[in-house]
Amino acid sequence: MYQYDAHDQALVDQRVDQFRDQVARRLSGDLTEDQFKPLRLMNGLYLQLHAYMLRVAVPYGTLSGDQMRVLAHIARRYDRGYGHFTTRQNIQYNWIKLEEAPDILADMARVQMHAIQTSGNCIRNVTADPWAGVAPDEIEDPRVTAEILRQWSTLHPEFSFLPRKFKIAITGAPNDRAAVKVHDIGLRMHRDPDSGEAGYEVIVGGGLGRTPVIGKTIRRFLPKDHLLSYLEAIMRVYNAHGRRDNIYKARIKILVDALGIDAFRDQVEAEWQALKDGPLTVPAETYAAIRARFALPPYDEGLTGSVSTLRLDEAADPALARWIRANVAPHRVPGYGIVNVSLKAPGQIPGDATASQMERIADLADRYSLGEVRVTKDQNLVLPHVRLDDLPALWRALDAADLASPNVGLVSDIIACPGLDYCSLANARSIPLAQALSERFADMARAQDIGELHINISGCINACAHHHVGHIGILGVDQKGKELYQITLGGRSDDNATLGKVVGPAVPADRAVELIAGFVDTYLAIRHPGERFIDTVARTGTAPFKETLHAAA
Amino acid sequence: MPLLETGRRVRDRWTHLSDTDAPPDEAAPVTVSLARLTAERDALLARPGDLGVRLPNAAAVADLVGLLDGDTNRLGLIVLTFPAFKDGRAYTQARQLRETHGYRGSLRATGDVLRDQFFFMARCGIDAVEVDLPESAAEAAWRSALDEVRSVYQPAADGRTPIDVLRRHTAPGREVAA
Amino acid sequence: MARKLRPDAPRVVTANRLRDGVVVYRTAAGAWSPALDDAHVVASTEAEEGLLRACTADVADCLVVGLDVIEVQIDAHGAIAPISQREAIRAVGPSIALPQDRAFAPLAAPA
Repeated sequence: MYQYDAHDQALVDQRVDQFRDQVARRLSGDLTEDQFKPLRLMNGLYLQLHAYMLRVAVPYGTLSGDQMRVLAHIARRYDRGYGHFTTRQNIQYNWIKLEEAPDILADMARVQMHAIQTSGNCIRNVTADPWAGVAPDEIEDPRVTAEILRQWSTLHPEFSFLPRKFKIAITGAPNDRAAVKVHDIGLRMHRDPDSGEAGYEVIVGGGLGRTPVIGKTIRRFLPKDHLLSYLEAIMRVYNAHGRRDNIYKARIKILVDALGIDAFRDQVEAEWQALKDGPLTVPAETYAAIRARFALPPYDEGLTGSVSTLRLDEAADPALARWIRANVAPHRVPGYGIVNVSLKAPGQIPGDATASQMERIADLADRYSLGEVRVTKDQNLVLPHVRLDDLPALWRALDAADLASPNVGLVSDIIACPGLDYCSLANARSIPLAQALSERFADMARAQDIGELHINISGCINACAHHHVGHIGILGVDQKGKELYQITLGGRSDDNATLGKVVGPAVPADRAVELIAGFVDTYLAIRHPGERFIDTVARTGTAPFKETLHAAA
Repeated sequence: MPLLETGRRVRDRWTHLSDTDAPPDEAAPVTVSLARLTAERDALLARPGDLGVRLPNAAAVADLVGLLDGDTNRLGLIVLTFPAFKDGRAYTQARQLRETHGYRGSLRATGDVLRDQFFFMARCGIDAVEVDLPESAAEAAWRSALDEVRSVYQPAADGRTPIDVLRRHTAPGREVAA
Repeated sequence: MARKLRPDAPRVVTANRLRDGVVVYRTAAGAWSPALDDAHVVASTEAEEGLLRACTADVADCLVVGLDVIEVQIDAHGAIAPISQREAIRAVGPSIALPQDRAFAPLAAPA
């Protein structure tokens, strides 16, 4: 994981002092709420339904055990003993006091953490593949690039008052686990077919929210040294020309769509000519220096085997075997596995973890995972470097802390935003429906038979739970005071990113549970061998599922 | 409203002409709207007095540069506009003028200019601001706002050395002052 | 701000306390209480405007932010309840059981 140097630390410390002064000026009345709001948002502090909410950045989803322990400390000392891991690989606290926010930031700064640009109309926390650095299919660790982007975007003088928020995601592997096609800018690392050199495919103008759009490729291959100058050119065109008259049309996707990708590309190219080969050039030595700061303790040598060839003793320990099958993924180093830790026990609030659970994860990371934890966009955690022979002990320790649900990527691994229980933007609650569905699908053996299936529930059109790209997407709406749920089928955020299609009218929560149970039954009845839910929907369309809709009515 | 130039309170030596006002005299420094500069370009550039332009934040810097035959230094002042502090278009205009087109004259921010945006403005090459602060507080506010964050990652128009460059020229292990 | 209310709808003024964000309601005595039942209920546009005017000083003095008027109903026992689900959740907290932090047995020593 990235270790700050004195420069990184100085900036974060200075930012804490700056915010402490801003809060003091607000409390004394020197700043009005209108003036203060953008300042607090640039430090991740929202005013929500019940209190202030603080969103803490987890850059590209990577944490150390020590950092996780501080997150637990914050939950206990300043909040109500828990936190919420988000779909943007961050963590949120729901019960924060404004007057304590500077102290929280100071506590975080001591372990190289901050809340800079986790909100506001600026470049937000850069997200990445949660298996970065350990996935066998990876070309390069995308976190080196993501850290370079974090530094470049931090307090950017030109891009701190953009038309709207701006999200960048990067994947270092051909299998996209970062949803790069539904971000303002998506970067996909690949190798130039001619030279073999690693670089980026640059995708622009994707996004969900009110107007979901799949991003378009603006540049097939961008050499690594041009990363910042090219992105600065994109940002500059957006800052100058993005709409500012209508908040719902202010994202870059609207500009790209209005101009057309070719005209947009021409403008970016024109701007890039002024920036290319200038001071924003990222020399190879910078990549190397940043990569060196990610140095991990060494893996144990001489180990063999992979989780995919691991012999599981089903009879002796069926629960352990089931957990390994569902939650442990192959690692690039022989003898190691990637352990996905589910925050989705049946009935649990998706993504929530108590302070004690965070501490348990931190301790297990230190003991079994070279001191490292990841946060995923699916609101789960990852212990990325676990020896295969440690799996049984790790599993027992996780299980004792309600952290061993064998359901990662399965039907009960439901992604849900905080919804109307916490969020001032929401129209409907998300959490109670997620709880009802995860309890409905609590049978883990059956869930494994159903296989990979992503259910995403957003409490409003802002789509924080990415419902458009859920295999089953659910959008909460308020129709004349009634809390209803609109269901979509067939969405996905992988390499074949697709937006789901609406099936039927919006329904109350209990009816939504019945319909989704019916959709799953339909899938089980019509699937071909080896076909996942999403493959079946892709093959058949929504028609057979709509029959379920009528049959169940 | 106080006018600060590089943090010092000064009297405005410029006369800001409407589109119909005549200049007070040939030598007086005047600013005009971009529309008037476009319409009366030759006459305005031929005056011996210093010329400035008030640039709407929706205007393309490239158009202004074209109007000046590529030489932005024919102007002594460019007035940028922040209709609301959240409208950040003028930051891009400032950097394009300074870094792409080599403009060396004064860049002045007007409109909804707040103390907590000074840092970003100064980094983009803005050296003067009309600021809605009491006279006595203005200079102190400017100085303290620029002093809060001293470590920067980006190369920009203010000449600060970005962290990456510092790293490349600092011996490994040598500490920097916070 | 909430949508326009019926002219005679019962209503209260709510806000968040600036320093800690706690949801509060305007009382008849001109104070702020976290309990909705303490709120001063008015039932006309004129009374609402008067109530809001009285609150503006507290906004300027940085006691509260996010001033809003919400419609309520009053039951036979005099208990006040918001009409909208959003305000009901604001008044009483999330509709779900919150996670309870409980300590786990210490980890066994490594094998």
